[in-house]
Amino acid sequence: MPDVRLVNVTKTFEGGRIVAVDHVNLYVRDKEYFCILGPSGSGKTTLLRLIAGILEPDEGEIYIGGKPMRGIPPEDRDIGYVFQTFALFPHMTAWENVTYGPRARGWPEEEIERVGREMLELVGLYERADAYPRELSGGMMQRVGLARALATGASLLLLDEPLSSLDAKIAFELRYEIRRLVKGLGRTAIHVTHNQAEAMAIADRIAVMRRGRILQVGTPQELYMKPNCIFVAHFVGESNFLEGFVEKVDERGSLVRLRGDLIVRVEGKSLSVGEKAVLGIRPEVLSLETNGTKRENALPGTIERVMFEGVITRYEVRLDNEDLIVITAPSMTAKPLKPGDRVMVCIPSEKVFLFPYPERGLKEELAVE
Amino acid sequence: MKLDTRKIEKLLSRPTCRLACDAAALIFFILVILLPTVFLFAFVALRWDEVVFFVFSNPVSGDIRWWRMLNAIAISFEVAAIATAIDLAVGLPIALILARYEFRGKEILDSLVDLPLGVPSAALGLSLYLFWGTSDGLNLLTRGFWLIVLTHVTFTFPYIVRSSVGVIEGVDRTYEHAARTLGAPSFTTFRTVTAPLSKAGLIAGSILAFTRSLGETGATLVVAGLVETAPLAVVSMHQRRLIGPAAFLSMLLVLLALGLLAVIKVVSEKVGIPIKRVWPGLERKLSGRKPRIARDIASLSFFGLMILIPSCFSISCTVNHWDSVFYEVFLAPDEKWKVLVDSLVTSFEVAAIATAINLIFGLAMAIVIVRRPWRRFCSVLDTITDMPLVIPTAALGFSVYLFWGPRGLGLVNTGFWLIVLTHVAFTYPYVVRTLVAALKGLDPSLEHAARTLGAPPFMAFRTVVLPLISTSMLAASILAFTRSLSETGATIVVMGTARTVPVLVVMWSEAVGYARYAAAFASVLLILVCYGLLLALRYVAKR
Ligand SMILES: Nc1ncnc2c1ncn2[C@@H]1O[C@H](COP(=O)(O)OP(=O)(O)O)[C@@H](O)[C@H]1O
Ligand SMILES: [Mg+2]
Repeated sequence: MPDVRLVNVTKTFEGGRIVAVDHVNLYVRDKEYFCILGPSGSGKTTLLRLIAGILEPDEGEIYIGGKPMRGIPPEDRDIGYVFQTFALFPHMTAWENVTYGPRARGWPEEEIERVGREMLELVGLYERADAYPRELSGGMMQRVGLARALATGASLLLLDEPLSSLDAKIAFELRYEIRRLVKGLGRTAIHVTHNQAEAMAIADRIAVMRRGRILQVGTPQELYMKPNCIFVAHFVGESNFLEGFVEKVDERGSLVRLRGDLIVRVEGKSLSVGEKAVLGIRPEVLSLETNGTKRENALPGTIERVMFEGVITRYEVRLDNEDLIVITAPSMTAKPLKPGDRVMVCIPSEKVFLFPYPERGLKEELAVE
Repeated sequence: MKLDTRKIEKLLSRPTCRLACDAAALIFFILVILLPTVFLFAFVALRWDEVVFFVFSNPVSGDIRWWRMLNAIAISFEVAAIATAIDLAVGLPIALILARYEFRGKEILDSLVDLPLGVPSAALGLSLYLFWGTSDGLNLLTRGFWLIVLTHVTFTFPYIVRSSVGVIEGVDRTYEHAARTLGAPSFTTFRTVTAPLSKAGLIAGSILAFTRSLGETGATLVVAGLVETAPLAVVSMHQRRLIGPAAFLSMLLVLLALGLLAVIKVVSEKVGIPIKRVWPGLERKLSGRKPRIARDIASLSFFGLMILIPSCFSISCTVNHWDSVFYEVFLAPDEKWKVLVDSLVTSFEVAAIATAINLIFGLAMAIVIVRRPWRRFCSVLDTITDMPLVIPTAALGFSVYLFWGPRGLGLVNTGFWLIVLTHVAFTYPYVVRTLVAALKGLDPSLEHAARTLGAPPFMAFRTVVLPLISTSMLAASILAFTRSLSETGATIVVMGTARTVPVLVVMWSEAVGYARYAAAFASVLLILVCYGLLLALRYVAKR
């Protein structure tokens, strides 16, 4: 039962000057494919190393399968670790790499043979068993790395950005393959990445991490639909952020006054009248009208830029109050608009996120280091 | 004015100038380094009759000299082998501590390891002799074989630790983490991952230590007593004007050293560290906390008690016996302080001139090796510039003497300038090695960028390359300077009536009476200067 529980785990470096992991509480269920998503430098690798036992926490406790892990060295934790840079031993062949774990544990020879073969076949590289890492492509190396981590039968797999050293196309294929293998073998996986699309595509649940802290844990849908803070709305998917003050709260939601006295109605009513607020609006929920009339949640503006990006087209609109807002629409059905055109930006009130204005300012809140 | 410099630099960038520079580098190398170093072989061939007469079939002594030579060579190899083995046994754990642990005081341990490098070997020999062999110290060991071994362990120790720390730090820790997460305890991880990946570097370090031990003269002279190692035999035969036999023995020593290196290279490439088998039970025990702590304590105490304290013992000795020291140096009728001042001046002059010459020609040579498109030729050059490193300095000094001196070209007589020429020869590899590494580490696109911005090649070199390698130039200078300052063996052979400080240390420590106190004083001076320079080098390298 390899569930993983982190209680108040903290790790600092350089005598406490760098707080890499800051009082993290986390629960990863048995057989779950769990992603930790965060910008680089947010402490993801440190967190994974703590779970692996490569580092010891300054504070807090880590439980794997219910057992406290303090003082237990990595070799006794029954884990598999997949590295961003693969870390295949360069002086050993693919076969020797994959069977290293079983050999280090002193398994009987026929068992080692069986597992080595099984694992290399699983990742489709049995024919390349005698190749040295330098003779393999990046994708192959990572497959061997995966086979190596799986070969000891460890029920907890830790993956540290396993795809980010690979070409985009190969990374795209391999992400589904990894999930399929892990799920097929019934292992628990903690997969660390800075790529939100990757996390969304393969995770059962995701924890968003920033500056050593966990901001939100949830399914990909939850994170996308109901981000609990500005940073998550910004980092998972994409959002416009507009500043304003809460003007009125009624049974249908709140009215927020933006700069230039534009009023936007939103469904949320978590803030009280007079509070400073930030509206988070995903570009894909907005629509543009060319000859709309003045009505609620239709804000007048001028197209400033049009960017064709293939599947979608992106419009930057300068609202009449000088705020800039981005709208995306499927290219095939988009209206032919050009810079200078006058438009109305229509905001669906039920799809706007309402956040309190962050203490340290919006810019600081959005920084991804 | 501005335009003028550009014109000059354009002129200097012309292929003819470059060619002249390359030619100067090569001619210097051949004439000043290569030929004098290998002249020995020619000399032995030319004077073969003399060699046979003195060594193999002397009417008086028969072939007894031959047996003596073999004996001396055997002793040299024995000493080198034992010293290298001890170095490895103690040095590897310390290298691991330095490369892999984080603790307070690491910086200090790190610089203490280098201390014996900063102590000129003659001064080191004296220090060890005072510590082990006199009533000022422990009075436990007399001059002889084991004191030689201890001395050689002391001055080769930093080579092993330095090079091991370098290669172990070069092994990506991720490999070790991978092995640990796969279930290998720390000992297994070291044996199957770290050690195989750093094998080449560890062997290179051992070879360096071995050859340094094989060729050492200064310290050995002080601590040898009646035992004669091969370099000592060369020195003593030279002093007795037995030129033929001395040349012959030097040649044997060089050939054996080169042969041994080749054997080690081949064997080590064939024979690997076993990585297939694992003994989980035993290795788990060895990986435990207790064995590790025991190992760390053992190696650190050995380092502290057997290497560190003995090598600076002359300092405490000088302080404790300051009255006798003061009398010996300044008041005694033979006025040692005058000689000391003279030799200090000589030592520094020699070191400064040799360093300056090598900086100029070494840089030109490094450029040829790294930048010229003749790949084969350059890699051959790269290898043979290292040759003076494996040649015992006494043999090298002897060869230089034969080449320039009255028996060869007859251009330079023993004395100051011959000392300079010798020191140029054996410090050359240090300079070239350092500068080649620096140039290789330089991103060529920087220079290309300067060229595309309109700088002629010479200007690109002056404004981009030179500033970027200036740290390495400084490092190379300090290395060459301290090496020259502390050399004994090569100097003794070529000095004539001139004296350098290490030679004085040897002479005074061999003299009867209390002259050893004067020697201690002189060596303290040397130690302070050399170790100070070495610390400066570390500081520069860090920045
Ligand atoms: N060994 C270390 N020594 C000092 N600082 C470290 C060390 N490892 C990580 N850090 C710091 O901790 C923070 C988190 O790093 P890391 O866990 O590698 O982030 P991520 O994997 O999310 O990019 C960074 O600021 C990093 O500089
Ligand atoms: Mg990372």
